[in-house]
Amino acid sequence: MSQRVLIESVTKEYGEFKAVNDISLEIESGEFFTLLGPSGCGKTTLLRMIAGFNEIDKGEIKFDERIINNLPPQKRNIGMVFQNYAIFPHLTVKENVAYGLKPRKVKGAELEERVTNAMKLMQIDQYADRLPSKLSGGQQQRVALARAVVITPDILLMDEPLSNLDAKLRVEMRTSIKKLQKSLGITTVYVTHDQEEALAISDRIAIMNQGKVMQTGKPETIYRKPNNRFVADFIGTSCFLKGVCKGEDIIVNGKVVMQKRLRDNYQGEILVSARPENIILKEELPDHLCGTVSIATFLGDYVNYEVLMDDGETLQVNEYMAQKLNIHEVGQRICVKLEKDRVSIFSSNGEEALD
Amino acid sequence: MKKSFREKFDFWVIVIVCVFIFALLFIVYPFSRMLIQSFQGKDGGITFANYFKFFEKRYYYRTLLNSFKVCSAATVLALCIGVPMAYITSRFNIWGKKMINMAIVISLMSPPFIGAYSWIMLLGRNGFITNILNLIGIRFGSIYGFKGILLVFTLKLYPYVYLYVSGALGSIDASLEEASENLGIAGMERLFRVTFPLVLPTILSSALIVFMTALADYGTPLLIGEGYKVLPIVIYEEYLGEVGGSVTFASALSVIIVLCSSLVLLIQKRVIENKNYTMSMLRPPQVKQLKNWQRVLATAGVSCVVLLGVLPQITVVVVSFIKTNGPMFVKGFSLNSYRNVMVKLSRNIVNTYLYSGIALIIMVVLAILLAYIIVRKKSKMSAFLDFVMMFPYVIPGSVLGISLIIAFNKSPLILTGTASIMIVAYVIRKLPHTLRSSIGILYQIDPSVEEASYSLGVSQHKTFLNITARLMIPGVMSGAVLSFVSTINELSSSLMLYSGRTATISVAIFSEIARDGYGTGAALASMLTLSTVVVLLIFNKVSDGRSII
Repeated sequence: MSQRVLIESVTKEYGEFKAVNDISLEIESGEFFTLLGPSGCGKTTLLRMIAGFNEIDKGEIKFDERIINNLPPQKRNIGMVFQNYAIFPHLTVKENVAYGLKPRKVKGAELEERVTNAMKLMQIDQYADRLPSKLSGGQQQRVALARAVVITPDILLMDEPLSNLDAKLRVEMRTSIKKLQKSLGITTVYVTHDQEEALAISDRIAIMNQGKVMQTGKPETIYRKPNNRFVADFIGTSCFLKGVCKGEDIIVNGKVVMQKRLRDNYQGEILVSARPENIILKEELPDHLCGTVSIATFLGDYVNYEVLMDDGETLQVNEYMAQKLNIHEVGQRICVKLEKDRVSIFSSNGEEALD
Repeated sequence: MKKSFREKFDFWVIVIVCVFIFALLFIVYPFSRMLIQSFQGKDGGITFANYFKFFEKRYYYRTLLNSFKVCSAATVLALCIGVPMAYITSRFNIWGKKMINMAIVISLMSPPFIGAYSWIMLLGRNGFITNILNLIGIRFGSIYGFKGILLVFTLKLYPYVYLYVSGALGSIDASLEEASENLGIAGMERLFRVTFPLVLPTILSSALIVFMTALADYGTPLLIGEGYKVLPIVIYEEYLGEVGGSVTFASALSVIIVLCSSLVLLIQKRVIENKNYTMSMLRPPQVKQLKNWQRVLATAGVSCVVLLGVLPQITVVVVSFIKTNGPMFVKGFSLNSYRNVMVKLSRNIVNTYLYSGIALIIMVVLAILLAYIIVRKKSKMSAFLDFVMMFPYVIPGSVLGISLIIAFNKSPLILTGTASIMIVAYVIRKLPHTLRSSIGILYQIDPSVEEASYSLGVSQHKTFLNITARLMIPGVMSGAVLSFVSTINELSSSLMLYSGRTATISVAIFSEIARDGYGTGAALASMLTLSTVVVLLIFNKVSDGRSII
């Protein structure tokens, strides 16, 4: 049966360095949960702690109510898919898939049936008697998945399973993974550094950086309402403008760009964060921030502009062709407009959201 | 909380404890005993007298200088021959590469001092070639002494350089050399500025092996050295000498030679430190197509060297079929020598294969377990085991033999004169080959394969047996072949440890030659050569062309 995973104040130390620093997460039964972050952020370390390959130095991990800190990996009933597939190269596809059923005392007709079903589910039944070296990367990935789910694990763990596939296959596989996960209803923890993949596949995402969770939430929440500068920067693209808040006036470079009441009526230095598609370009806009177009890149459905502002900062702005017909020329004078519902405002160090 | 995984315990803790006891008992303890002995005076007190004696008397310290001179010269020559040969065979389309490789491995795996013995039969005072040259009036200097040792060492040991460097040259990314040519440095200059520097660590490793093997060799200088004495000979004489020999002095000499080889090892490690380059192998090096006359020339040149290397073996095989009358060779061919061997020395033959076989099994098991501990269970203990098990690498066979005798010649554990002590010596001395290759392959096996097995519910030791050990086999076998072949040919430790019942083929060759039984000696040596060839052929068949080293 699918189980909840509770991670309570978990820490992993390598000498002074804290690879995982006091992390707490609740992963619901049947949820597709992704750990997303740059390399070295601790996401794989945390996953391997759940799997039992890394010891837990502090804190507890529970499957439902059961503390599993001291349970060896082979007793956790976890299905795991590794980055490099970790298919046993000396066993055939079928033997690979059947491997985990032997210690579970599944034999005879039942074993045949479960192995065949798993292979059919992953569409690798026609390769049953082949050795892994005769399979393509995508097929090997399917074998790894079949092997992980055939044991009906309580939890499925995936460590960057798609990173070795080419771009097209990656999109195809992530759809099959998502379908598989939904049809089995199995709690899944997925690790990736690819934000697009995370947004596409997850029910919820935890963004990690330097051993800490920066934000947890649904994909669209994380994209629309980042908690801090790191998340805003890591997910999608964001432009940052230094400013101050006086009363309800948000002032950037001496111009009042919008009116917004901040949390606890915060006053003082702030950081305004805006995504390229949420910045509006106007040819003339008195009393606003202005600059010149330095690069215009035509990308089909939209144009990406780099605007050199008068104070020397650079802004990225996207204009969609569906709404606009003309393309601004390089060197053209241009002004930008920010809308209060489409920006995020952080403290000046970028660490907390003020709106 | 720290010691959470109980499974980690059961299996591997037991293994580590067992290996640790083995290492203490058969390596640390004997060598410590020897070290203590070397400081013992005639009255049993502690003294430096043995060491003073060595450094005071020219007769003794000269042997050390002699050893260094002849070994360094042999190393340089082996490099001068081995590196170009490796380059030519790996980069040009010369004919018969497989044959050349095979012949080179065979010349490396020749039975002990057969090289010296054959060269004496060919070029010695009464040698075959010498006699022919004398007939037509050409005389040349003696091949005994320094020159002879150098000749034999070089021709026997250049194969190490050749095999190591060929391997390394084959794993250079071709684009590096192309980049150099693209930037305007080509030909010989490219060779010295890009290609050789990249394989320098390998060149130096092979040089180390050549030097160590030469330093430990005892049969060659004994036969062909005549007045030119090297350290291992004095050790042997002092230990087994009928007149004025002294065990404590032999111990001191042994300690000195071990210190010297350790020093050389340290220097070599120092030099190649930080020089191991990892290259992304995108394109393997290209084999250059030579024009016909160039191809003939290159093949001929390489073949000449190869032929010189296997000439001793060919000589021995031919000699083994020459008719004999007592110790004298007479005209015509016969199987006399083999008949004699079968009648007198069948026990030696059985012993050789029996002991080597048992040693091989122990080595394979030990190497797989040790490799796993060293690679996957990194700790202070595993580093210690790694160091201790590689230590015999710097100990000459005769020294190892002496240390085992000193350690196990009295109760509670009397092993001297038994088969076990021979097997122990073989295991300790030849394990490093198998251990290195096992460690090598284990580094290539991704740990996630094992983790996949654990997470599927399979216990640690079952995973080790069904997955890890199974995947390690090809790498283990390539080292095991080397271990086995050099075990059946092992002389220096056998000579120290054998008793009448446990004598091996190589011991018999030694005593036959000492008694002028050249025919039987040659027949025995031919049998060893044949075994070596058979083992290598089987290996080649099984490994589809993987390199032996």
